[in-house]
Amino acid sequence: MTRLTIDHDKCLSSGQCAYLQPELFELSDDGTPSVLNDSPDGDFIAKAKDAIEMCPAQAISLSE
Amino acid sequence: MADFDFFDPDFQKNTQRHFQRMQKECPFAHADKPFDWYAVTREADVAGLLKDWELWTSNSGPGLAHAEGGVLVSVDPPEHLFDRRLINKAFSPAQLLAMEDEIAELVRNLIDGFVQKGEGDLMQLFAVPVPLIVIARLLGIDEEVALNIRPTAEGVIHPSTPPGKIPRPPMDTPGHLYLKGVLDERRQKIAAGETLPDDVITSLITAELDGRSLNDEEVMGFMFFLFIAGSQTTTQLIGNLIYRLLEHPDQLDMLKNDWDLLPNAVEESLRFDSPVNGLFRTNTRETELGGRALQKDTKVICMFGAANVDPEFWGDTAGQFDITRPYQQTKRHYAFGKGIHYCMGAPLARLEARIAVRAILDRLPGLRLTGAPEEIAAHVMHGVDTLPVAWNT
Repeated sequence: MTRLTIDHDKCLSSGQCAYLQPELFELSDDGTPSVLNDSPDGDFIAKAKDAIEMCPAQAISLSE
Repeated sequence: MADFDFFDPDFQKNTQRHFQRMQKECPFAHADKPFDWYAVTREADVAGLLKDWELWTSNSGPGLAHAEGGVLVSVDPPEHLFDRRLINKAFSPAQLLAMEDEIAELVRNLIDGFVQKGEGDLMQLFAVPVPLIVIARLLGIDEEVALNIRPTAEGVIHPSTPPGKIPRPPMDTPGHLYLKGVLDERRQKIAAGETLPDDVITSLITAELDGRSLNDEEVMGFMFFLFIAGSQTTTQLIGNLIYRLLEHPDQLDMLKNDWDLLPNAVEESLRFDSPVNGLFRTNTRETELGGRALQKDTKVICMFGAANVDPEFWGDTAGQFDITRPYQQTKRHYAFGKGIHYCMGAPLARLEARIAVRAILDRLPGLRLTGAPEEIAAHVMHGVDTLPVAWNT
């Protein structure tokens, strides 16, 4: 099973993940992101990869 | 009576002090040149406006002018998402970071060219050409031409901006005309079935998303915007950081003894001397700001540079330059904006600054100021325009 995680030490709170893939990420009031679905499958794998590719902090990862 | 005057030369000289005064005395500051507009300076208010993009739109442009049309920084979703996806690949952080060796070589060659001089203006010699050449390569435009055109952001906040909606400015500057020529050449290559270089121009003219592609005007808009956004901003970052280090020799020594501090020094420069003072938003309906009723279509600037020195957010030391400020704190600055319009070039700017500043400090021993720098005259920008220095040869 795949696992989608955010490294909060690296995160720069740009908000790009929640903007590009709102089904997978959401932002708290102070701009801190959290993962909505930490075991994405099907179409969500590609969506997770899109967020990983575009995170300016390279703080998101998907592991087996 | 206006609360502040952005065109006052002292504003550029003592920007942090002016921002902190505004936070205290007039957090929703009113300016009346050349017409009425407002500025938010407190971190909490800047954050609030940037988050609520449906009320505080970018569709009227990021500058003081009520402009119509544009790309990326000048549009909100859904167009914004379309624009962003078009150049995602070229601007993905991994792609940008892969340019490290190429940038290091460029920096090396540039320094080789002037190291024997022993003195000069480090902005013209170095901080200006590095980002211009990097963005020219990334976009696919001629380096020599890029250096000659050197676009600036002067128009973003200009004392002669007319009130009310203005049509899109004509695309007839030398820069636009050059880009049009490049574009025509590419189109001819496509027509002739030739292989195209792997650069942003090619991505833009061949991109198709949801059955939509860009026309020439849109491609030009993209190119010109990326050209400006990718050059002058990073020039300021490099110049501002070197200036502050020379102004604080104790911190310069600390850095030279521990290069692990470099990423933090870059973030602290971005925080303390945000290269972009702020960008405008425009309200899509009547609203209230700080107890003041605002009519629809009022221009309000979100002062990134002010949010970055707000003592409410950063504590009592907000107004001091300190490269040892903890990274987990420093990284929360607003120099690249926040939210949907967060700067796509942020990873590239950071990379360029790290390589450029390290190389300068390594290769110019005894680097010192020989006079007071002049501040940049483009009001949306902040920082030094000249950096007169000398070093040992």
